Amino acid sequence: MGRLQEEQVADLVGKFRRGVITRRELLAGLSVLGGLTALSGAVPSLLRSVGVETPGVRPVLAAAAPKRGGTITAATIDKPVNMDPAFAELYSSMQVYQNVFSKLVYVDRNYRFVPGLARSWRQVNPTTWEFDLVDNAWFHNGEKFTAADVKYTFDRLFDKKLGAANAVFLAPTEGVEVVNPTRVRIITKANWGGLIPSLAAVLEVVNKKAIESADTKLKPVGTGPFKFVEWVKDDHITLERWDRYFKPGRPYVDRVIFKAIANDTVRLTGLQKGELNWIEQVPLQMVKDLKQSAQIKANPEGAFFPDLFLINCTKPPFDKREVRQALSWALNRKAIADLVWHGQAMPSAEALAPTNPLYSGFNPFEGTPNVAKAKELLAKAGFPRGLKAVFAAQPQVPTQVQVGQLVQQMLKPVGIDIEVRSFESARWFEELATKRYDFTSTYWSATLDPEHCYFPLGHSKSAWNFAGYGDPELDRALEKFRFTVDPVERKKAYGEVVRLTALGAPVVFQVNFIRTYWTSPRVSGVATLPSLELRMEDAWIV
Amino acid sequence: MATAQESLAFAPRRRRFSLARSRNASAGALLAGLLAAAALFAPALAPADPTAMDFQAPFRGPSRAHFFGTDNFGRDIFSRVLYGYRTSLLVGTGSAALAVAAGVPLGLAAGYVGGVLDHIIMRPMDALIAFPAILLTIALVGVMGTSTAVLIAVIAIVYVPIIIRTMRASALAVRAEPFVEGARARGASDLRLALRHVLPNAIDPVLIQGSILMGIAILIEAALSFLGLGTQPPHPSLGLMLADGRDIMRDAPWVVVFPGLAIMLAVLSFNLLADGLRDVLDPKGGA
Amino acid sequence: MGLARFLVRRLLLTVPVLFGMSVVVFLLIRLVPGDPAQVILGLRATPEGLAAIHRDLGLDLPLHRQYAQWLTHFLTGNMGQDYRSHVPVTVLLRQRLPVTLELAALAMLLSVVVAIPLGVAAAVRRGGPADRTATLLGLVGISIPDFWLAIMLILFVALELGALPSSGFRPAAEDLLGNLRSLILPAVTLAAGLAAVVVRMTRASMTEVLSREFIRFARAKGVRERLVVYKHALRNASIPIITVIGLQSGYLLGGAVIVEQVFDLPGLGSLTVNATLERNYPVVQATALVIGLMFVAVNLATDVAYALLNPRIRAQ
Repeated sequence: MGRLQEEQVADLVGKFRRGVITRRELLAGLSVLGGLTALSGAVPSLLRSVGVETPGVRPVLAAAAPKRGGTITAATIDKPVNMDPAFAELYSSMQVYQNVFSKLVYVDRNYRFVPGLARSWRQVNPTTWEFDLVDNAWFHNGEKFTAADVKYTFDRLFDKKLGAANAVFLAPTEGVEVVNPTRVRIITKANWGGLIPSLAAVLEVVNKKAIESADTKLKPVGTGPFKFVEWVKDDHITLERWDRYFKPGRPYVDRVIFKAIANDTVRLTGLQKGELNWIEQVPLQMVKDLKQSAQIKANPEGAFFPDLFLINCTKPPFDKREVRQALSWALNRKAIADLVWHGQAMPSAEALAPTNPLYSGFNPFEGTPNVAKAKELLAKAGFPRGLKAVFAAQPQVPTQVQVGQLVQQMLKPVGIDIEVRSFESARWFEELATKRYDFTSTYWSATLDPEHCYFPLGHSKSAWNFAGYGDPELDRALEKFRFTVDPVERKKAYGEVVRLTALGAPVVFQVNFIRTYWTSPRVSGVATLPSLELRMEDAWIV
Repeated sequence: MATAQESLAFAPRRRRFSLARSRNASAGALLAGLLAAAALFAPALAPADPTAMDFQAPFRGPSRAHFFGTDNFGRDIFSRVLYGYRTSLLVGTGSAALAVAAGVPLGLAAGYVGGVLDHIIMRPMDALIAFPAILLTIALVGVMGTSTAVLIAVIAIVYVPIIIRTMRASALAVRAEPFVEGARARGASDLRLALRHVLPNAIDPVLIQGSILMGIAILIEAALSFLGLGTQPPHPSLGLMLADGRDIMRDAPWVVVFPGLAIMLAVLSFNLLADGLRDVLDPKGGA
Repeated sequence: MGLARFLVRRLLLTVPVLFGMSVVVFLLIRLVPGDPAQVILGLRATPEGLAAIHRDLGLDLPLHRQYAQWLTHFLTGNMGQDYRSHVPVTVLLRQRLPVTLELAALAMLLSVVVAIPLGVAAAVRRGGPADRTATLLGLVGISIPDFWLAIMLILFVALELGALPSSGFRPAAEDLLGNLRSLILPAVTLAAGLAAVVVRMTRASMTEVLSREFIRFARAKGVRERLVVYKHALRNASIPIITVIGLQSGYLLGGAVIVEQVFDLPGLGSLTVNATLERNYPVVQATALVIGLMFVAVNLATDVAYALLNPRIRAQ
């Protein structure tokens, strides 16, 4: 055991004591640092001090140091649809292509922003950020990565004719200036506090030549750890180790094969039989039992996936704030977490996970469900005898249908009579876009920074304001939050956004889904990340 | 044309068999009657409200309190099956009746009259039968929404070409039989020939097909609900219950086993009943 | 009229049928509410994004120009691209069609091989063990919901016994045994209903034919029983059997939708469903045409079989 590892163990233990990381994360961290049986020096006593017994640790923790070679055969849930990072249409596509591209900045499990293609960065003045870039990154087509690629990536995103969906997350960007091949400046509007998290969330750097030479939706070319080899539609995507990857020693594995298997049971069987060694999710009701199994391994999890109600504020009955608040009062979030998600979700009244440094914990509706309060508000809104509303569900999304049935049950005692009506997906989107719906439930997969969720859903000028909500006070709070860099001020501004959103209730957060990735015990270095990336470059197999 | 008649003029062995079949038929009738009664009197028979959730009791196995166990929301599966039968039976009988009522006259006209009329009737049917049923279903559901009436209409539309073609093929074959020629020679009018001679002798395959359709309609209702295009939650539908139970079938098999068995029982009873009805209706083989 | 002329005429008649169908599908899928661009972008749709996609896909053109465009492309062998994945539709069809055809063929083979001999045996010895088996198969087979059978097979054969894969598909070119293994459960599922209908019809039709004069005559003449049953009777009983098999091919394609869904097979059925739900117009149009074409082919084959077996019908 080297000195470096010893220091790292001490660092982890310190973090655990300060409450920065959980016990599970401590153990996972220790496993990354190598076999605990080989621990020496002050380490065993250090570990005992926080209740980790070195001889009795689970065999899983005895994982060896990172090893080169091997293949990860991964099964996600949904099929990827296209490989162009400008169109982050589906989360299932991002899961794959984020391994082919690199970002300027990455985020780790503790919400620290760490170098990617950018070695370092600083804010030069309120509107200018400067990034020093690596000098040893190559695109998979042989082109060398330079600052010009960063500029091209931004220009492409903001090309109106392309209509890139991800441009929304980078909207406060004014422009990009190339200083020299390894230095680039990003000019923002005012004092944008969300630049770095946004870069870590959605900015995969592309190359002009590569974009222009092939169909970008079929053939991704990046500087990432893996190059794209083949895509057999509806079967699998194969990625292969990129030997000229800029991070020394990475990635560990030679090959990653992505499959999409919709059925949880089938996915689990594949892992248990050894046909797969990485899967996105097991049947949720089996999680507790499976965590005891030595046959498969649950990796460090995270609750980065909020589910929320979208409520149409432009037409009766939910155009009245009191009616929306009545819904908030009637909610039984624990029932949703337990029955729909089998306990694999945290009841939550905001978008962020408690581990996020910005987390507010603020909830103006403490002690729900409170039927009396809900009834009172309903009467105040002019519905003393109750009212009827329609919950729009997509039969292809079973959890959504289940949430609909549960909320129907919850609102019954309040006097709100809910009809769960099914719309196939195309119709459901249309209901939302044309604001014909009453209310519905959906997930939101971009929450690395709360700006990615609250701003598009709540700001009156946002194209994604499906609620049709307009509140000048919330708009001001959102803008204040957006244009604040100082962490303390930013956290305060976020609290105000949470408060105003909860009170106005155009969106009502239900739970935060806990995502766990399951692997064979031979696979290490896997964890759920706040960006929801599947960072396969960190994984190895023994 | 084969008409699957049961002729009793032969060996006694066959008579015994025919009686056995009648037993099957009466069993089918009894079963179908019981199921229909169960559906009709579901409110009185069901031990629980089929939509009432019990947050404390999800995934309970079969017991005296819950004969078929409970589902993910703690709802009583037995009660849900009883209520699910209401939809199944309504869709089954409704769509089969609609398809036969529309298909028999058209098929007879096409087969008996033939010529241009045959083409006028059959070409659109060729197109309709060739039209992907699932596409048609999604399109209709997309325009009209999901409801039991839409389901009945969709299933009838999808199956009417089959009734028409069966009727036509059968009429075509019977028309070529010598006894029809004989009747024509005796001066019978076309209408009389078609209705009195061809139709009774050609209807049996249609009845077989129609009886199959009655069961198939129940299956289709379940399948469409399974795909999310049929009956909508929280309304109990047997297909929907299967769809909900799919992901947890390994831990709670009763969630998928009982509703599936229930569908099978319903379809089986209709098929048994239909077999029996055919024996009774068959003018030459009537038992 | 000769068989060749009959065939040519029937083939020519299919052209307007398919053309009419392509127009109907084209209009129907566009008139049903739902915007493909909205589906593609999902909750991340912006007006610019939607407009860009509409422009990209030519959805901003009037309907008649869209159809003209599609038809000219189609006639030059270009069926367009999948809206979402940008894969040419011809490539998709090349990948998907063989899966469904193989599945359907296996199911058809399985059911015919089981059902026809069983149906014949049942008719020959009414009330015997074969007859009871046939009656049981005929009843249970058409009564069992295919998706439920699929679920039960997955639950008990695949998951509990671990005997066969529970989902997914192996191309035959890669692994022939794996290919068959991946298709056994789906094919059994699909074959159950078909076998039931065929066994019913075979039994009914054979029973009727065996009671006819000419059979008694043949028997009286001392023709060997096997020959009576398989040559004289089965040939005469075959028209309704073939009709039913032909009609049920449609059922096979419909059933394939569900079976492919449950077993997660990349076939034409699941492609059609997903494309329709996503309003993926070029894929919907292409799959509808292919399915239509297959129906027409099956009908034609059925008609030819009629004509060969019963020349009186050809004279119509």
